[in-house]
Amino acid sequence: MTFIRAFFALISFCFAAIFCGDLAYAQEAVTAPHSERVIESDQIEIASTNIDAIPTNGWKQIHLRELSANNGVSPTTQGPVFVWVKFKFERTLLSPDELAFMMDVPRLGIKVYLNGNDIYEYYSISNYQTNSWNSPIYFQLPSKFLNAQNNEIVMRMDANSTYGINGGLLRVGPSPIIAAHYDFMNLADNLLPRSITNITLFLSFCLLLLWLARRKDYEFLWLAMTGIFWSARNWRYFIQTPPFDAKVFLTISNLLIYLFLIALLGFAGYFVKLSKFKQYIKIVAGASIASFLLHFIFQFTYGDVRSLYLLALFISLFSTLYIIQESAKDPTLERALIIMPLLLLLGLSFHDIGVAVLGWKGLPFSLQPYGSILLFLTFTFTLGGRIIHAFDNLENMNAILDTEVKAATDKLKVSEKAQHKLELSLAIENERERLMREIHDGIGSNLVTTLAIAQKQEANSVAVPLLKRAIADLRLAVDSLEPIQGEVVSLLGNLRHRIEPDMNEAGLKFVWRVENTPRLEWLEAVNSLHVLRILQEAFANIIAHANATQIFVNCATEVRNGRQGVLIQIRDDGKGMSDKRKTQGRGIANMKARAEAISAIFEFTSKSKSGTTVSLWLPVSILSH
Amino acid sequence: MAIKAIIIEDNPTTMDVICQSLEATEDIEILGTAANATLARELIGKGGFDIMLCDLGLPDGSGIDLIKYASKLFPEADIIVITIFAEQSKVLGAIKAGARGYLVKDEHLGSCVNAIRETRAGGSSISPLIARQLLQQLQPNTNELDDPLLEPLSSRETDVLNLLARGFTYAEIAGFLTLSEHTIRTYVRRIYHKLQVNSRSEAVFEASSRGIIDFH
Repeated sequence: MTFIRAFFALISFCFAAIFCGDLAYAQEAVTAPHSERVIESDQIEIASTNIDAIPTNGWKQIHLRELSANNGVSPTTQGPVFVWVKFKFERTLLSPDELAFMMDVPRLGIKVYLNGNDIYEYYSISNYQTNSWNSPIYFQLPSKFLNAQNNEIVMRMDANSTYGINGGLLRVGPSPIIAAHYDFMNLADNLLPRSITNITLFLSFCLLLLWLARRKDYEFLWLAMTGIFWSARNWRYFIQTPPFDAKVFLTISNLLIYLFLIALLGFAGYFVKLSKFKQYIKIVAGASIASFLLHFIFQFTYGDVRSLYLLALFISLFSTLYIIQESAKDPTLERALIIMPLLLLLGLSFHDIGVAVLGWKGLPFSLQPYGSILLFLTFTFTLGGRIIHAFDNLENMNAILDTEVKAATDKLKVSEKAQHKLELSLAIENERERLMREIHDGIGSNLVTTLAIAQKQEANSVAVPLLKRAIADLRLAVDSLEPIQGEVVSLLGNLRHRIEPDMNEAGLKFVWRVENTPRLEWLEAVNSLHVLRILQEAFANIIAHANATQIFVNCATEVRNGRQGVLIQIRDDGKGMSDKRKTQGRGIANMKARAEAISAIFEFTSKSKSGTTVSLWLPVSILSH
Repeated sequence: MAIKAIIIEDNPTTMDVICQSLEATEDIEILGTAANATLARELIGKGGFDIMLCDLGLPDGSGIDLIKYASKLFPEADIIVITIFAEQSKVLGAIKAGARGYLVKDEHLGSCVNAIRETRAGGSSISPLIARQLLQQLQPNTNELDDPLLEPLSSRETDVLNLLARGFTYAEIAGFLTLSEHTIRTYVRRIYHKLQVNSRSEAVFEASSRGIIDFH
């Protein structure tokens, strides 16, 4: 609703501007001092003849801006038509200085007589193809032909048909003032609109090229067509010699307004993304074509069809209202930006038609040729906005893409690392399997077979314990290769599992007190073997020397010097060790060396008759590996 | 009724030791022996055995295939795998294929009779390292893979495996849990069965038993 109110406010403003301008104009004429006074009028007398001679009778008073062949002039189809316009003025009202005369929009060829004297000719009657256009005419009134009191200017308006004769305001006054008027009118009504039209045409072709590059962006095509039809229509205001028959040219020019209308309203509807665009454009096109046909028929039947332009105005008005209503449902800056020039265009057209057809006294020049600036300016802004938006999007997308690429790269790195780790572990695993097969089917198998044979043949042979020892060593090596993920209790448990039958044979019993302990991440094959060898040595010593009945095995977490660790204690209830043996034994030194190699702490305590304790403290983590 | 056994072993000395120990008993009868995979397949095909002792490294094929074949044909029969070192990968592979126990080829091989009797009675042998592996592979919610276990461990089984992994004997565990030693052995058998069932998602176990997937 706000939109509709705004629309009416704008229309009211346009009207106000038109009439205020008129008031200001009238005042200027009255209050000006005598030396600067200008007579402005569109009150003329009109008559028509078939011969080139000023008529002596048949004059009729009309307003010049209402001039057309139908206004008091009988149309004829035979021969040329001469329309005569008479304008009278009082010399005493004006400055005694040199006077000049000017007239807006003369349109056709013109010949001027001052008090019966031929003083000016603007295109000759012989050059019948020529239309005269929006450039005003200006000429000085020679003093020698001027009367002291009443003066009479008669103009022969050359028409090659019964329509197309036109004229604007007439002015008589001091030469410099009239010249200034002329310059202004020439600029506002001729030079500027001409430039704008040419630029519009150029821009439209650029847009057409843009559309060819981006076919799915139909707004380019719509606007290009709008601009092309617009420029083509405005061409008639500036062209001096039509490229073909003047009548045909004028007809085409008149009818182009409907094509322009379809293109303009199509562009606006497409630009604001009307939900029912197809139906909308069909209705607009249908109404425009109907008006066109009406226009065409009337043109040949009645000649003057200028009031039919009101049809075009109504089509625009209703379409604009529909666009506003639809846009109001979801108002955006972009939509508002395209609706505004549409309304202004309507206002400009109202002005021009009002002045030309309804006799309003608006601005002295046509505003409609300036409309394309608004349209293209708005489109530039919206397009610019879209481009900025697109750039922003692109940057955002780039940023997102960068993040995604980084994430993917990181992921790939992790995956590559994992794969590398996997490949490495597979390679190690394969190598281990190969070695194990060798040990299994080769040495191991042979050792077991040899032992079996030795036991069978010579149970007491020295070879038997040696072979047993060899097999046990091999088993230890194999066990150290087993993946245990740092669980030292499993390593310890497995050792028990291996040696339990031997212990049982030796009459020893385990008292097993093993708790779950933290993982020792450093406990890999090499380190495992050290641990196993130390423990095996301890057990072997007990079997060989302790003369014990029980082995107490404890395994638990223990903190030493603030460091987390696992303590394995092996204690027997045997006879203990003499101090002499303690120092002599090479085994203990070996165990200590092994412990040092893995940053473990080996302790050995033995007292005569109270057994021996071997303890091995293993840190959870090795600081400097 | 005597336990009918077949023995598949390519090493004649080992074969001799086993045969001699079995022949010395009255409750175990040797139905047949085979020294290679081809002969073994024929022997298995004939059926009629209660227990099958099987070596893994045969000159013309894998013992694992034979175990699979036998356990498919005769699910009621018990299979014991013979190995020198009882490495966890080999034993677990055999258990997945359908074995219910293992024997270590060492100077105590003569005591295989006890292993056969225990297995036949529904118990299974296990080492701490294997117990540890089973704990990792069968514990529910410990693997990061989406594939849930068909048969995860019960909490009792987890307790038993945990103690076994720390090196406690069946007898000691039976004492802790106030159960009979035989019950603990049957627990192990049941756990082995779970491993076999869960091995249907073969890839997972293949990877985990190779130590490629770290479960922690």
